[in-house]
Amino acid sequence: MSTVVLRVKLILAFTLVIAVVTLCFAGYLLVQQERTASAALVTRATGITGVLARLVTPAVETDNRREVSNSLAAVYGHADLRYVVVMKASGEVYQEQSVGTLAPGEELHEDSRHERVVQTRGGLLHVLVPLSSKGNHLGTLVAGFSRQSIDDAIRSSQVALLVGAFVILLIGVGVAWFVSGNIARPIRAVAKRLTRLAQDLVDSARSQESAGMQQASGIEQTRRTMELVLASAQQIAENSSAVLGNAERTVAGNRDVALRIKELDSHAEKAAEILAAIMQVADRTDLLALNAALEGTKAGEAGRGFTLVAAEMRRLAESVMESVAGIRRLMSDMRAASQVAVQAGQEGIALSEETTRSARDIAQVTQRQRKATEQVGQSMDDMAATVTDAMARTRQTAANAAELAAAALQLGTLVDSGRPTPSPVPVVDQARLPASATADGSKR
Amino acid sequence: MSSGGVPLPEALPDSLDRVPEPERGRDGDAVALMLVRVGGRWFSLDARMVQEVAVKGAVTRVPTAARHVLGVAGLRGDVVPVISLEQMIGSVGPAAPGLGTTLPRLVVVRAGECDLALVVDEIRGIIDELPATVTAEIRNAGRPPFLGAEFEWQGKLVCVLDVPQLVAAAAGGSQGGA
Repeated sequence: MSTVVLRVKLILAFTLVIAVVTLCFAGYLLVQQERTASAALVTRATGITGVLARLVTPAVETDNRREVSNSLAAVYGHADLRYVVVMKASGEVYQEQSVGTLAPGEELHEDSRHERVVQTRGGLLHVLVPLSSKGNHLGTLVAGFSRQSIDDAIRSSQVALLVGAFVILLIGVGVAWFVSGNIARPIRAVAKRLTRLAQDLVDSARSQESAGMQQASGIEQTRRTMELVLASAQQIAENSSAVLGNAERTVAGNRDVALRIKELDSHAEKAAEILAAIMQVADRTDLLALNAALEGTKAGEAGRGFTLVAAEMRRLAESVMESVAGIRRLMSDMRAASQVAVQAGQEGIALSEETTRSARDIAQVTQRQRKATEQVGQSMDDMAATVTDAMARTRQTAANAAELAAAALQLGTLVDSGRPTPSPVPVVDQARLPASATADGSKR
Repeated sequence: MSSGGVPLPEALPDSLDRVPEPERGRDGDAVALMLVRVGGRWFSLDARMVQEVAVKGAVTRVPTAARHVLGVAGLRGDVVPVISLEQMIGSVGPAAPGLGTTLPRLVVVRAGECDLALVVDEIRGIIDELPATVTAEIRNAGRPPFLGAEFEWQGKLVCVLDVPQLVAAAAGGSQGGA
């Protein structure tokens, strides 16, 4: 049904075009026909009038009215000839033959004696031919020819043209019916396909828009995470710098402690040497006291006091030796402790140097991590700008798709019912886009 | 001593099976005894027979000497054989920890005309009174004859050395070894 309406419209359009072309062509033909017929009538009229003038000239010269009348009667059966008048130079009508009478007010021009004059008045073609003989102006032959035959022929041509135009119009209508059938169906199919494609395009644009919003949200979250990582890296760098400083101070302190312990060890060795001397003296004293006691013992009762003194000296020497032995033990413990301290200090130095290297490595790694994090943040910003631009293009695409869908639907509606209807495809809402996806990127 | 030319006493004790007893003074008092430690064992010997005590210095080993003869040492211009009591007894056991604050000593004893230097690790001193806790005589075939009775002194079991027997044993072993 809908296709019929379109086809009727197409047929009307074709018919109008064909009618206009046909009318223009017919009008042109009629004008040309009238011109040709008029020219042919003038030629024929001038020819007949010239021949008649040569026939009647001798009779007029001899004033033979009978001969003039016979000459006029010889040509007077022509269908288009309405009258023939022979006038003398004085203007007197010498001979006259006519179907009717001349129209009132018919006058001949004075200069008609010198040339043929063709005039059209009162629906007749008037031809004036001067009559002359041997240079003498004898009068004028005037003949009137009717345009009736030309008008009849023109009317016949008009009827024929009208019939031909009608036939052409009918053929045009038929052709238009056939052509419109081949045009309307593809247009309607194309309109439906366009509508479907536009709808798909709108749906795809919406999906891209949603994905873009999610991507923008993810980028924003990643950027915030990168900011946290960057802050953590900076804090780690500061802490590692503090650790590096502490480790370096610890290394210096441990080296100083090791140096002091070496000095203490040296002092302990000197003290051990002194103690060895004391021990040797005490041992000698013990030995002397022992020998003295022996001598006292050998001396019997007389040497008892000597023996007691020697015993006291010996106890004193033993006490000294015991004290020296205790000091030696203490110094041995001190030296062992100092060796342990030296070893611990060396291990501490090694650990501190390792800590220094580790802290330096941590600082370098943190520095690289900070640079990498900054680059990631810059990449996130670039990606956010790209996503923003992509979302703007997606919005533009969605809007274009919506307009295309509306146009396709309108085309389909025009094809279907001939009346435009409002587009059911919703326009893309600009306000639904996230703030982070705005073009200015102010939230970065 | 035949090997090293060190003179050893010719006169040996009368009987090897004589058990030495702690000598008493004329008034019945105990004689002075010198307490020495060799390894983990304590010994005592008559202080009157001790010539001197010296620091154990360099000892020159004597070839073909008996095992208990460590060598000879020069003391006050005399050459004295140095005897290892530990080698003569057999085993004295390890010394208790914490013993000995002095250097090893040489105790020069004289029996007759013969001087011997005994290597001791420690000399405790000279006691005048013999404790009343003298044990009974211990005699068996394996016990050297110079080891006499034993008594307890300040928680230590002290064996009495018979110096003439010791010199005789050392000289006999030295001669046998030579």
